[in-house]
Amino acid sequence: MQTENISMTVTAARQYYGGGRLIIVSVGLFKEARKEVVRAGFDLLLLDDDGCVRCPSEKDGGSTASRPLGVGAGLRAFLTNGSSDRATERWQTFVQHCKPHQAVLFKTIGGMPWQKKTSIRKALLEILSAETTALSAQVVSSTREIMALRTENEQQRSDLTRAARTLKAFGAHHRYVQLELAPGNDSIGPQSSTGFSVENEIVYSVQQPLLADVSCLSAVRLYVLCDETTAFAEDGRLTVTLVHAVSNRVLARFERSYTELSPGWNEFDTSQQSQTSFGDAFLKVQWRGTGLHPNLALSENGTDLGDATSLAIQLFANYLRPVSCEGVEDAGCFLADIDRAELSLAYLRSRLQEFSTPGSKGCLTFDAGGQWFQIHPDDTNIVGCRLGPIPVDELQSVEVQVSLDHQNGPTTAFWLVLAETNLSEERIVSALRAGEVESGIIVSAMAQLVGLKSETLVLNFPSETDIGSANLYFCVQSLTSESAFAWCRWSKLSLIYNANDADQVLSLPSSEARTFRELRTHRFPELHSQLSYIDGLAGAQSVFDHAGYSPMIISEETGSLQTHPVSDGFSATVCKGLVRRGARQISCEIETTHVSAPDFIYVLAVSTLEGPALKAALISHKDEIQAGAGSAMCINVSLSDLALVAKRVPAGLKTNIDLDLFASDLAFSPSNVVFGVLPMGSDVSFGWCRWHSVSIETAPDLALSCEF
Amino acid sequence: MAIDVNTLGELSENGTIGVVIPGYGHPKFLVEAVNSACTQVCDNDIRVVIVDDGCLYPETAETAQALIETFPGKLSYLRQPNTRLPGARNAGIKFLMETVPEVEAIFFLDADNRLQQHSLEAYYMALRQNPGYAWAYPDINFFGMTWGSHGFDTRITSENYSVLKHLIGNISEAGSLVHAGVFRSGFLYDETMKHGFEDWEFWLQLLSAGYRGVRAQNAGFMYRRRSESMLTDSRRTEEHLISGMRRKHADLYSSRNVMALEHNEAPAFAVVLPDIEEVLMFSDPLLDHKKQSLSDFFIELNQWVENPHSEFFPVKIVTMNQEVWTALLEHKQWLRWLFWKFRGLSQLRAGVRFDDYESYGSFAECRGNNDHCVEVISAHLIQKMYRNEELFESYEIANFSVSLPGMSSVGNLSKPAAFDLRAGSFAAQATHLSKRYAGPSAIGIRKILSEELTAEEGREPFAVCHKDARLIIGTGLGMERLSESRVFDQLVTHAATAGFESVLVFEMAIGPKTDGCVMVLPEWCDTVSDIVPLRKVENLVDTRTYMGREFRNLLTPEAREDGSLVARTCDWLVAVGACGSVELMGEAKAHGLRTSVILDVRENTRLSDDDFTRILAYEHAIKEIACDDAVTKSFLSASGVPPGKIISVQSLYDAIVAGIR
Repeated sequence: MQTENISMTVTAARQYYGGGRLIIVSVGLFKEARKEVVRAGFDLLLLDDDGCVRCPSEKDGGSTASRPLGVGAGLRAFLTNGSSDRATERWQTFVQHCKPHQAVLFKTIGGMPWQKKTSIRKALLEILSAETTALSAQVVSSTREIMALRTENEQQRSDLTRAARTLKAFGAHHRYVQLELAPGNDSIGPQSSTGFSVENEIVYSVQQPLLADVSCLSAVRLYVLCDETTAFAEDGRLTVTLVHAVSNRVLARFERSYTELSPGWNEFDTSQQSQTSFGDAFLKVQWRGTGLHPNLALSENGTDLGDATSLAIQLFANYLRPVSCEGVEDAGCFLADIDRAELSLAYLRSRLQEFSTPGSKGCLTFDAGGQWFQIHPDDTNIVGCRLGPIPVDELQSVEVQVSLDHQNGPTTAFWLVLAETNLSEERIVSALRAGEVESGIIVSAMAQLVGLKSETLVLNFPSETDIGSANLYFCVQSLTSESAFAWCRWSKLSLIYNANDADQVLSLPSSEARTFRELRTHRFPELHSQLSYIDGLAGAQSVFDHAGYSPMIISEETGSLQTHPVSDGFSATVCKGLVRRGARQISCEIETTHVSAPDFIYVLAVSTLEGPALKAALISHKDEIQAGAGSAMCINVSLSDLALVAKRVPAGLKTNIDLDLFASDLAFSPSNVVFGVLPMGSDVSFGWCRWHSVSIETAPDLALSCEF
Repeated sequence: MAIDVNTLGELSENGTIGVVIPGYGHPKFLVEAVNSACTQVCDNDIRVVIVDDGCLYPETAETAQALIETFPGKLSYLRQPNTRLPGARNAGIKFLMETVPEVEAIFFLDADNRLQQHSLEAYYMALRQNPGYAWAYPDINFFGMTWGSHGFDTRITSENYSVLKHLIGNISEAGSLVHAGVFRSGFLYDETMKHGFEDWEFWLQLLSAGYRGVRAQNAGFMYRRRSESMLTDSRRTEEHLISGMRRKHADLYSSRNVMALEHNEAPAFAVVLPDIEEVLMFSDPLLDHKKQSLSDFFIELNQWVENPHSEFFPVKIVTMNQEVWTALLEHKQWLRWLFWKFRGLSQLRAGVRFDDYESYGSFAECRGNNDHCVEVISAHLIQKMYRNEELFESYEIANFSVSLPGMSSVGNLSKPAAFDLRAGSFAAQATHLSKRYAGPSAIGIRKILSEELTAEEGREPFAVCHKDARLIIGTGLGMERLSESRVFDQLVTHAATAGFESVLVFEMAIGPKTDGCVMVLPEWCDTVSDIVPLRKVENLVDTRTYMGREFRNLLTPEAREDGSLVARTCDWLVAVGACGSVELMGEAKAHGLRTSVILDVRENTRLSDDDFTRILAYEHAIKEIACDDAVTKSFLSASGVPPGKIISVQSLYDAIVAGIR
């Protein structure tokens, strides 16, 4: 590109490449252009007839002229009169050659001075309006992009929450999962704990069911994260306790004063204590004093935890088995009076192992309803399955109900066998065949059943025995050869422990246990099997059928439960058996999710009643609640079989509704929880009433009163 | 070439720094780059120019304008038609040189890379504290896609600047700060290098002009490694580009320049004098030696065994007592040849003694007799020791004997004093986990360069590490008869007048030395810089045929290789008589030497048929034949030698005095 005939001075070049919006006018137009009012915001340069661009101050020369290298970002127009046509033409060729991103206007302006003025103004306005159009187009496209980003972000967040919750509730099937939760979202972490002042110090407590079997803890370490400012504090101590969920035995217990803690991750080695146990367990962490907010983490041995500052739970597939909702719920709710551990089918499903003697073929299946498992006999071979090892310390007896499920079933023998873990199955089978007693093997009385009969087998564990670790065997043998028609069912398996020796079973000092409460928070999807919808009045269901949607929605994405209010009655969901003995307070996070919705009355109730009786009890209080809520924001009802709280909530406000059970008699027995909504008036056309979570706080003094 | 500090000028304390940011692709990273350049924490005035090199995205201009408003007076933008990277950088340079005449140094920042807050200050300090250096290059911190733990991944391209390394690989990233004096002298990027290596080529231009770079430590230059840029990092066009650059900078890659660089930066020998605990390092024994103490040498050794790829280290460690070294220095003419032989030893550990049994100029393996006075250890053995593969003591010594006139008379040379290479060495060094050396491998460089110099023979190069003119004189007379001819005296004197360094190549018969013959070199040999013996064919039955006439091959194949390698270090080859050196003429001509033959035939004697045929056979490679005997001249003419090639001996002397250039 030839640029010999065009040039610019150094000062002009600086402005040309480094300035804002710029127009270049030929010297003949300078006077008019300078005075133009629309010119504000434009810089001016002068184009001489010789093709040199100068600053207005350099009109008579200027410092060294140089050849232009390209175009600047701000160049908008060349306005010339006839005199500098040649120069303009060369500049035009050059600028076009450089292909600027923004069009550069080339215009020749002539005529009388007023005509020149008008033309200059027109040109400037043309430039400005083109810029405005481009700008608004840009705004539109930016807005669209932001919206797309926001949607994507929300989707990702909900996916993440959902994944996290699923993992937490059901264990993980991935090889390696790291789950990080913001503190306070769950029943674990600093903010979820409640402080209580007992005597003259505050005790915080956190309880966390483990998603892994206790027997796997040998490969897992517990870490508590302590921040720098609270480490070395003089007052206070941290207690970590690993409690066996079934027997309430304390498997491991660590107590450290703050001065012994170091900033960062503090390790508590649980591997030694947990080797001889199996089953679900939970961790209790208590800390006293102010300031220390430990986070908990489960981690594989040797894993580098880095410098995470939020709660981190690392789960490893090898140490995890799917645990049913029921299992999670049962684990660690109470330091309760369980001396009889009924093993759930969900638990057995993951732990039972089939065995058979050479030449035989056994078959093990499980009930879809969660009641029984069954073994198919194999002619006259002894077949069965094994559970274990099971804890035998303080074991008193094992009970199980057996039955044959076919009316034409053959005569079948059932044994319940407890054998030392080092004994082979062949020896057990041969002992059963011979009917002889062998050391290390304890056999229940044999049950012989024909047809649709059932019986309970009891295995008594001798109080003085050498057996330290044992497996439980469920064995069957068809005594005739017609095995084709029968399944041998086993149900209601219970391990009964010796509860008399309280000192050994419960090593947690009762004086200390008395000083804290437990808080558990549930999200609704994990409760879904216990939830059922009850409508307020007859005919309400038909309204929803007509509308084509369900009045109750449990959202996997948000973890919430939401019901649509009905115009003339309760719209409520009942959660069966959610509140257990010792509950003191129930708290829910609530929100009406449509900004145009009217105020609603949220009703949180706990009742021992069920079904129609509960519905009737609720409806009987409807008028009272509506009347009361009209004047007050919150009303309480407390009866012997029903306690409720009603709160009027405006739309769009995320708030809590708390039901205090402290004074209620209900607190002593398991109860159902009702999440109900009443409209203030009759307008319910908008809005969903959402319950984000439910938290239940358990009072220790009541719970402990039931302990042995 | 010496650096002329004055052409660059010293940098002032807070001089203006220009930054050129070329942009062609999407400007998504441009903001980061510009921000990092405009928000430098330093006392220098920073002027940044974005060169929009015909970019297709209008966002570039919008972004630039917004940035100009953010950094008024600091940032400029210019858009030009696409010229690829070198063109864009040149436009930026021109812009800065014109509009910011006070600019003292210019930095080149690519739009997807960025700087840390104190980067330019660190670069500027490196350049300012090392006056005379033309540019400061960084270590490269990768970000984006990294392999380092915690995302840090730093590559050191060259801890100390090395021209040798820079010839083989580009050790200076484009993100370097260049002294503006370089541009004032007219250096710019080569705009034809559109497909890469434009930065390397630019550095080679500066190297050719005698400029050097300096490393800016901890400059915090951040290089964004992107998956797509790694994919496009194809090496398909590399060879083509590199060979182009080598052609353009042939001087830099010439064998004697490379050897000179080796002598200065990566000496091939370490002569250890254990009795005075001193170490001398060189490639060319006739040039200045780098002298250091034994303890410093151990430190260097230790560094090398830990980092054999980044550090240069001598290939042979030659141990001897000071007494031997002094004796050797008295026979300077043999030194280059002797060390060349040492360098070519394939044995990892060898003992060398001087004796009188073989004919002069022999270097042969001999059995038994361990009373050597020089020990040659290969660096490879040290690496083996380091890896505990071999123990030093148990490694067998191969014995060699060398017969040189005068050396055996020095007396009974003592064995080198006990010297344990492992003493004080092999201490493990701490290394930085996320810092790695990423420049060309030091071992590889030596290999590549020596292969280039001696690829055909696969041998070690004859180390002549200067660029002065050299004249090589070949003779078939043998050591004993040298003093009989006056031609040599004349040749050497004339060569010395013209400033030539003379090399004497003589043909050597193999076998035990004639009894009682003690060689005394003629006086003129003192002005000869090198004496190189070449072996004659033993039984004299190796014949060739030219135009139906048979003639003998005088040199063994190995001697021909030797002669050819020595010839490559010279500018002029003169064969006295139809000797074996005539066989080297073809090779010599191919390597650009001037080739002449002096036929010093006495009156009324004739050249033998054999010699005559040899001359005719190599006539195409011979530039001139000097001869004063009329019969021989006419004979040559009659045999088809162009008359222009036949000149008088005096004309040849005159030509030598006139010099080669």
